[in-house]
Amino acid sequence: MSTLLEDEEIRLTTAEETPELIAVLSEFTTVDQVITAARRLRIAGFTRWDTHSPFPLHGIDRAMGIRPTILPWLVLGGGLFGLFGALWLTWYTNAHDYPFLISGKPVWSLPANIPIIFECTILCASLTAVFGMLGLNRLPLLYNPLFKSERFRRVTNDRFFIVIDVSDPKFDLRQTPRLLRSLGAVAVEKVED
Amino acid sequence: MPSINHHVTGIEYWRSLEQLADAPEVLDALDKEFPGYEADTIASSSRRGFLKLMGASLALAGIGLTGCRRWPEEHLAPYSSNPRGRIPGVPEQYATMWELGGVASGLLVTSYDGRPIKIEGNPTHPSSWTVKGKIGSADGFAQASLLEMYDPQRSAKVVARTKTGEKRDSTWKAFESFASKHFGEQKADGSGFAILSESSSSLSVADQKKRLLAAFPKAQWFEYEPLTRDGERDGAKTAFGRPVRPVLHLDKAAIVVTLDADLLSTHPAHVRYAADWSARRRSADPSGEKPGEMSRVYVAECGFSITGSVADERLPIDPSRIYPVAKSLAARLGVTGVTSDEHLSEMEEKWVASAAADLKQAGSAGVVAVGPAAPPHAHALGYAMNQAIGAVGNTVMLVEEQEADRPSHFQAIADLAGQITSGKITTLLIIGGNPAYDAPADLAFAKAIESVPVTVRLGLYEDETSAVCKWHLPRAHYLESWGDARSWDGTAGIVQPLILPLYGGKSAIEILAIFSGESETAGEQIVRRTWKPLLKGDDFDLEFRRVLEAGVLEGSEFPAAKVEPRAVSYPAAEPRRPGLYIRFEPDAHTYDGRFANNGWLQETPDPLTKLLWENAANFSKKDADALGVTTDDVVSISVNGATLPVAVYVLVGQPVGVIGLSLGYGRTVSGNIGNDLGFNTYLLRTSNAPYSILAAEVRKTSESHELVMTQNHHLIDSVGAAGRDKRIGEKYESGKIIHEASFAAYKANPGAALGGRTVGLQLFDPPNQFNSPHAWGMTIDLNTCIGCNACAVACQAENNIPIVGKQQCRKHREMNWIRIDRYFKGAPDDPRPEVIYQPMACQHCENAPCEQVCPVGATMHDSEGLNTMVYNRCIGTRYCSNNCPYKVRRFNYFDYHSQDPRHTGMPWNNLPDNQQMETVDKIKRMVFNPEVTVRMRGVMEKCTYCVQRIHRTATAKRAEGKDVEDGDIITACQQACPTQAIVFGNLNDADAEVTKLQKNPRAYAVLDATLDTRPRTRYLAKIRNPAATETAKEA
Amino acid sequence: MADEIDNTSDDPREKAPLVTGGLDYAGVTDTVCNIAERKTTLAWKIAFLIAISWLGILGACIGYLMTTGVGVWGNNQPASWGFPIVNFVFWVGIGHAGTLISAILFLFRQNWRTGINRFAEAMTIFAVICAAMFPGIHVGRPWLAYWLFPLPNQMTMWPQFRSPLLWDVFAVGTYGTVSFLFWYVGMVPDLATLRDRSTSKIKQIAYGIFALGWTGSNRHWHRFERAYLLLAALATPLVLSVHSVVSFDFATSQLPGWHTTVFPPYFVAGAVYGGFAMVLVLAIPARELFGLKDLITQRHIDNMCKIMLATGLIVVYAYADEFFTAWYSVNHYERFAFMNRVWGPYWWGWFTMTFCNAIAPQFLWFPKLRRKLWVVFTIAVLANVGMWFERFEIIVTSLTRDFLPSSWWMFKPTIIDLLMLAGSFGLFFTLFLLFCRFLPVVAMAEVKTVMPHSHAHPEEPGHRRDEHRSDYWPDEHRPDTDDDDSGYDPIAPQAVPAPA
Repeated sequence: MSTLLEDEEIRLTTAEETPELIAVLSEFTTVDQVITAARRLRIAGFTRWDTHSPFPLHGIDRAMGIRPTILPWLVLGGGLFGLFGALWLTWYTNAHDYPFLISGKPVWSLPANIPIIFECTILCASLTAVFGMLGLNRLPLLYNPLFKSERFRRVTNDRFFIVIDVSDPKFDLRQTPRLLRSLGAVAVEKVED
Repeated sequence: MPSINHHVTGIEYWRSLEQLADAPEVLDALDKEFPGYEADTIASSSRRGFLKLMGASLALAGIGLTGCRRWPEEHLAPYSSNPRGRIPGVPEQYATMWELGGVASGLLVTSYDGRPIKIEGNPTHPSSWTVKGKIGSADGFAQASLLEMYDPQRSAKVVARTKTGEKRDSTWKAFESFASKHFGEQKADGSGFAILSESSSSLSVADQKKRLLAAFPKAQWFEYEPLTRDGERDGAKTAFGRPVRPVLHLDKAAIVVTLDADLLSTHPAHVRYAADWSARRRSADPSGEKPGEMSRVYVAECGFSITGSVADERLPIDPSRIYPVAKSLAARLGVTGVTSDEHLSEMEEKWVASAAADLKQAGSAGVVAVGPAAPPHAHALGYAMNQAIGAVGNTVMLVEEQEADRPSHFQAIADLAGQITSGKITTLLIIGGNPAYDAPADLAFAKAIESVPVTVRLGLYEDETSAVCKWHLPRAHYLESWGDARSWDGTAGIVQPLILPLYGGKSAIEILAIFSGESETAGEQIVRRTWKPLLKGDDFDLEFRRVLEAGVLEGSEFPAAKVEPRAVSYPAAEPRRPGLYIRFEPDAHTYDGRFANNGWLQETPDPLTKLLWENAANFSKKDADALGVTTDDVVSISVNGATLPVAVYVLVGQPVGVIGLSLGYGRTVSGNIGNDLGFNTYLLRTSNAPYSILAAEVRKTSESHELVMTQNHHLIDSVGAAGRDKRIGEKYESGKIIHEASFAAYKANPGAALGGRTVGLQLFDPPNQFNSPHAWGMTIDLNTCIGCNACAVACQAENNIPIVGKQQCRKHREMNWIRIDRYFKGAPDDPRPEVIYQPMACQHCENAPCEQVCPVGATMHDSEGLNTMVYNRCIGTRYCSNNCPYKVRRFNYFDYHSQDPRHTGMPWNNLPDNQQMETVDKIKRMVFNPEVTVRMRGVMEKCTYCVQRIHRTATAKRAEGKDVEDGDIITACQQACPTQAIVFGNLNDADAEVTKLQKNPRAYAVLDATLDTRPRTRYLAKIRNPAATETAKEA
Repeated sequence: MADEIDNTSDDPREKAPLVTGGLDYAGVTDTVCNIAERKTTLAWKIAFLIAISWLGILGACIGYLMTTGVGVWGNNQPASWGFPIVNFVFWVGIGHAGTLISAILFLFRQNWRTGINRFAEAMTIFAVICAAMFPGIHVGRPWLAYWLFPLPNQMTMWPQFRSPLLWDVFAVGTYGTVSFLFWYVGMVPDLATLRDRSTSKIKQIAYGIFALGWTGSNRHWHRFERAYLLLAALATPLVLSVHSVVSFDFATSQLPGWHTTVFPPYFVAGAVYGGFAMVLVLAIPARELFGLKDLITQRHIDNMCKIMLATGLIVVYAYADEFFTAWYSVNHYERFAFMNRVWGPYWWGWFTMTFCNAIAPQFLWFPKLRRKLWVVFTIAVLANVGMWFERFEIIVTSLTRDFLPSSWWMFKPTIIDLLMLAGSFGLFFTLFLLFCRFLPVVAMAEVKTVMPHSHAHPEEPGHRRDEHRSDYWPDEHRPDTDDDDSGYDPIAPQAVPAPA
């Protein structure tokens, strides 16, 4: 359970204590604040942190320094697989494994099979795109400590959050929350498992 | 052979298998590895005994389509020339004969493991050969009689009716005891005993008749056929003083003139006549250096017959005009005692003039034929004309009639009715026929029968007549019984059974033997006794066997009649009376009503009207307009008292002033196929005017009746009509899909046959050359096709094509693989429209459009160029049918085999694949050709070029290490075609007939130029030989 | 709609708002989520009852069909295809608008699409379901329809890949799959919204499962956007291909009236036309019913009308082109087919089609009429009727009168034909009503991105407000501002901007 962290009552947590603290959650109200904050945090050298928003934010990738995903390459692979797979399928089934004489046409001719090949290419590429994205995002992930926070429920509505993991080398239980609040966070709270 | 008191019913017929199988020798035969094959069994048993064991064990083992293994007790003589004993699963053919209206024709019946499955013409019988010794043709009725034999609704038991008329099942034993008692008493003199028989040419029946009349001196024998040819007998009497029978030789006839005589379809000898006629049409092609020659056919008729539809010069007139036309024709031919004082219309004048000119020129190569409906004096004129031009002895043979002294059928039945009403008749035996239904209406014959104290009826069905008789006896079908018969020219043959009576019926001769208390009641023995004197040669058995094998007794034609024409005084024709004539015609589906319960025939379209499952009143456009009616409207026709509401069919070319009514519909007690279909026109028929009569009143009614037909082009809108005419061409001209030329033009330039046909240019060479040793192909000669539908019925029988029923036909879902497209050329009110028949089946295109669109590869090409249909792969997308420009594919919208044709579309909650196994009647199944898949619901089907015949023959040949030669493989349609319009063969064989025909200048492929489908089936253009062009050429 | 703001102006100098009624993020969320969260309305219940009873009738008809045979339809010898295929093509056509809006308008950065794309896509999927049903039950032996797929089997037979019908199977199958993925992926963040707002445990779990544990992490958003972009790029040619392939069924066969190269573009245009018409038919009542006036605004409707007008004109051109080709070909059969289409026995079908597809849409030229919702609605309904008759004319007139006059015969539908057509609408609306009841009918996350205050970058003086740029557009190439914050002390208060 997360509790609100006020300046006065910042205390060191000891290892024995449970539940274990895993991150600090801070809430912002505007896009500007959260993007600025993100940039600052990045420059400050934080590495194990993330921002959450109800919709994708302009410039957040730059601000957070998110590297371009490899998804397009996966999709290209999927598409090529579909293309050659379909090419092989049509050739193997109609021209090699069970060839038969149709309307006096050649047993194998590319044009007649282009529609099939095209459709298969698209199908495989699309499936790769969707499942590749989920895979890279480690989704579905139905349990997430963040869900324990009442406050965090607004992340899919109208609020913006920055979460900094305790395992971040720059993390300091005294300084970090203050920093966050100084960046405009309206609230900062522990995320415990 | 079961004795009179051994009663075999259909049920026992089945049970007997197990009984047979329970026999110990079978049971241990089953334990053996090869049941029935131990040496001692074979040695100790006759061929039949061996087959019994085989059959029973097969049946037990569940092998064989029906498990049916019944053999007549007698030894049958296989037609096939290699009597190496029977190999199960190998079909064999037996020769027999069948009678229709007292005239027989020779048949060849294919029997498959004891089941007759196909009827064809006997190539060695003069009544049915089309290529002597090779191919014999049988008409649709003869072929469909097979289905009649397997009809589960055929009468299966003796039925007795009490005085109060309530009916109870009885047995042969009961009847026998009754008969011996009753007729024992009668024997004394037999007064009051009358026999009413259908017409028969059988020698044994004649013999039995003699014996019966000997046993019952005062008994009377009456003969009646509703569709009789007694008109011709009366004509001959007028001409010669006694009946003679004209036998024509159309192959010698350059000029054929018929006066209301339908030589090519309703004449008893039509199969042979059609074959002979076609010889003189096919010869139009130049042979070698010689230019071709072609007969010219003049037809004056009161209806629209097949003969009229292929005539070069047709004259549609009403019945009262036949005589005056005949008279003026005779006058021009210089027949003595005939003065041309008749006034003719312009059309008649033209026709008579050119016919007379041609006949004069042709001399003995001409022939004049007069139909049964014509008045006696017209016949007399016909004989006189043939004498005058010297045709007698060349194109016309006059031979002795059978039973020359008998009264005409209508006199006979009228006489009998009179005697019954005056109470003279106390016992009436009715053999066959159906007088209660088809006797003239004015005799009220059904009532008359009821009034007779004792009435016994022998019939195939429990029909209208059985319903008013005290006793009904099941009759054995001709395929189940022994007998004999004579064809039109008198050639005699033996009727041999192909299977034991399915329903324990008895044949006419057996019944007659019982009545006259003969000791010998076994059909075979009776026939042998009759034939003993006929067969010369010391070894009778051998001779008899020879006749059985050949199916014909050589040289048994009727002797030529030595007759001299008498001087006849020809009365002046009475002037035409106002009003509409009713003209009674045989029906294309039911003949005279007897085939009402035969689905194959019901679903075979009428050649000209294309009506199915019912009849209608054929009106000319002029009369219909005058009456303010059109097709599907109902008119009520009244003739002396009787009134009949009947649907109108406007038939292009129907003579003005004549209503064509076909007999044989409106049956009420025929079975669930034939009941309550069409209109019973017998109600208007009277004994004094059986052929045609002036209608008292024809009134339009408010009702309408949706007629069912396969083509409805007279009902088409103007856009459609324009499109149609462009495709079939204007009168006397080629169109896009029909090509034709006049003989004169063709002789001058063979290229004229194909008019302005364009040749499709090739962008590329086709990837497949089909260079395997065989490239199957077909030609269809539009010039000799007479649209008789024999091919359609043959195809239905050969390929297990289902009957879909009336509602389905109304939706246009009929299944026939080969359909005969009939096109009229000329305006709807044209009195003399051109007719063209184009048989249309799968064209087996090399670039088959149907194949590329099938998603599951259910239809594809084989290496020999057949467009094959894989039923068990088909899922029924029906795309192939859409893409077939010829629309020759047929789809099983329901499981037609499993369903009663009168009620299709019944839900089935079981596995669809089991439907046929569980619902198709066990006896109906027996008619299936085991070499052809029985299709289930939801699959597409079409003509396969009879692939089963191709491969059976090819395999057999391969076994002998030979290759198939031309003529080895004959498709069902080709086999049945009386005019040899269809020729099938191997296009890679340069000498094959089909190859030569496809090089014929008349050969063309439908739509090939438009779509480059490269059909394997080619058509030969129609050549007409009208007098008009002849004169035009001279002028 | 006097009370509505007219945001249909196209004056480039001013940016017309896409979300009206002064809604903020939470406002949008509430408006949309309320539909799924509030109690079931009576109107919905009645509509659903009607729809599901027609669905029941459809089920009964299919049962009858399966037990009896496809003969229960009016199909006959020349017309082997009848209503089932007409309906199939009709529904596939309807299914075009959804993915078109999502994919193509997305690539063209048409932000206004965000208001309607969600239920347009839903409509697509349900239409494709209706469409896919018909070929399945249309075949003579439906229990073997799976033979259309290349599955190894004991007959060692494979499908015949030259057949346009098989192309159909692949095209429609792919289209259905991709459209579904597109729809679902786009919906995940909104499902998360519903999850986080859910008041009952069941709802939370139900929505939670389908939300896949979405947390709105921007590292996720990054890949999500990229995947969405790729899907859009892939779906775009797909949309164009599906109806092209369906049109091959006709174009590659050789029936007069079918065998023509204009079909693919002609069918696609027709499909878009009919599809947008169907979106309007659904959107206009829906925005009333669910109070979505502020999200599906006049501007949305106006734009859709314009698209209908444009594609409608393409269709009219295609009609004219067909006749010209027939005349110019000097091919008797081709000419006859079109004469017959207009003056033959099915003339009434052709005139209905021409009126609905060629004449009715012309009213959309007038902005005033485009504002009158009842006019738009009527024209949209007519467009759907017209498109159905277009397919009827193409299929039936060509089949019933092809090459040989002997096989010409009329096609008459049976009662089953009609019930199944109606029943397919039952299926469609049942699914659609369920969607409206339980799922986010508007893509909230997307709408939020097009709201003005989701773009402010005060720290970037040079940054221009640019709403014509897609908000899902990847950020690499943006002329972005300084990264040079060297020597910046995060703790130094002076640098901290005041909370807004």
